[in-house]
Amino acid sequence: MRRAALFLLLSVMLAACDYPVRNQALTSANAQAKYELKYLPDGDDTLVIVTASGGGTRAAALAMSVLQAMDRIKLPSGQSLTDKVDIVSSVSGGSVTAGYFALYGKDGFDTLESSFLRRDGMSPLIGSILNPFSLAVLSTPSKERIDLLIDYLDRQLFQGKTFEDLVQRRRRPYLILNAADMVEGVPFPFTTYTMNLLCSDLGTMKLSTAVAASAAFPVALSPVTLKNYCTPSAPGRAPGVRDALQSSWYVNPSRVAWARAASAYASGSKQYIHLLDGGIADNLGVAEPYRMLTGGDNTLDLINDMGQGKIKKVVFVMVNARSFKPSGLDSSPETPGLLDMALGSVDSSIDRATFSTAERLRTLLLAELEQFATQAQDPKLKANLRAVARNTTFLPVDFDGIRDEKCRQAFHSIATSWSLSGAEIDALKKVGGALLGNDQDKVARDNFAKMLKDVGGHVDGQLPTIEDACRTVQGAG
Amino acid sequence: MIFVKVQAPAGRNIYVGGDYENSKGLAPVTIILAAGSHTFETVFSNAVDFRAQVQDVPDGTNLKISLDPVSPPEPI
Repeated sequence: MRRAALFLLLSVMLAACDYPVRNQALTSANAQAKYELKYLPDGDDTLVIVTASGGGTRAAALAMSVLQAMDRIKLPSGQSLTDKVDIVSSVSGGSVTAGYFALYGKDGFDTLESSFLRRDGMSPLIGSILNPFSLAVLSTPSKERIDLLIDYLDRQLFQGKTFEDLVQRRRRPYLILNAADMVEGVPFPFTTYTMNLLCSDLGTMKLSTAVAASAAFPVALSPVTLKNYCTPSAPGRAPGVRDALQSSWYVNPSRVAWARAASAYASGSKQYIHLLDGGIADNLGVAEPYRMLTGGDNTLDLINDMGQGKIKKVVFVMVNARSFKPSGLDSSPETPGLLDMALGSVDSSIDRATFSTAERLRTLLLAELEQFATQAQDPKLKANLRAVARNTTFLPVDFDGIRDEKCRQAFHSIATSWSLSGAEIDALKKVGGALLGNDQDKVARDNFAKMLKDVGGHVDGQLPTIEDACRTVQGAG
Repeated sequence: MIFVKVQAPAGRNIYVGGDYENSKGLAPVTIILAAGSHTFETVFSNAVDFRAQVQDVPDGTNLKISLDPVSPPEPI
């Protein structure tokens, strides 16, 4: 017993010397295996993008529900729309589903459901904190609160798999897990480009670590800290950044702001990057796809593929699992306490960021693509952009699309947690598919029919109905 | 967005912003870019041999440019 106590004490003291190293330096050896869309097998002329928002298990279940519904949309090739997803970009809870989908495709849905969605993920996390051994370890820098989530994700789903495993899989979708740089307040997408700005390798990064960074809700979990291996004497490669930095801020403020953050990484002036829940900067996971679609300084340049006629149609499915629990604060003169203030300031900034990014994306897909075509003078480019603009469908999946107030509130009231009841999961599994084709809203229904026509697809069987999803969620309450 | 038609040197791969792993196509090619400043280059034997820059181009602009020789070529 004494020996064990001594061992524990020594372990704790030794561990206290080092903070965990979560990312590896970029070397000539690991620089070869790059995780980029262009190295995955070619897609066809239809670009399918799915984004999945944050919101704990609620978001993970909603994203899976949508992907399962998309699997019922059969294409002329015999494949389903889920088989044809090119890019999946996600935040927080949505990253659990996105990461597992990128790793195992639709074959992973059953395991995702049984090993994660229907498991109580809160008790192991809270239990670990209450466990005296865990507490001792957590009091050292070598193990942090975020490690509880990383370990849980690895145990239940990812089993130590890395981005290199995605390279080896050689299949689409291309995965973009999004965290946020808590100092800069900007999205931090786990891409080869971004990691190379830190002179670091994406391939060796564990998926569980990237998912946990994407879901590191402020205060409750500690940030994921990445080491910047660039130094002022050995800066990182940053294509596009120099040009953007030479641009006037008045011409393109967002491009210049992005370049300033990227430059701070590549120059080595920031030695460590502390990552929190991606929702702080973009709770929908749409910022990086938006940059790709607008000719940002990005190695994934989708707008030029559209201009050259390689991409002719776009299906953009934006899954938003935002909650909106009625607050008692509005009806009380009592000054909110510290916890209410902390949660309120985080929640409201996430909601504000969500609204503005959703609006930017909607405008881009529904108006700006057509505007680009009008502005372009090159006749071939103009024709190609116009064709894409007309064959683009934006399908937002959002509880706000439910007309029935009680039902909408019931879905909005599902907690942001890693533990939901079986009945809540049942309801979420229905509502994703129901909202994709929203049978109760003519605009959404027409949109869905347009998408089917554009891709030449049909629904095999029937998608769940809003009424059925509402019945299930009200039964769950 | 801006639309830049790179007319010359014809038949050469055009690289933008120092991203030498991703060609934007063979000149003549029209490239769609974010508003602002950009550098266009060609590469031969790991060295930049043609270059042109555009500065602070506002949204909606269409440009036609030709790259100028870089002498001596600059290693990338």
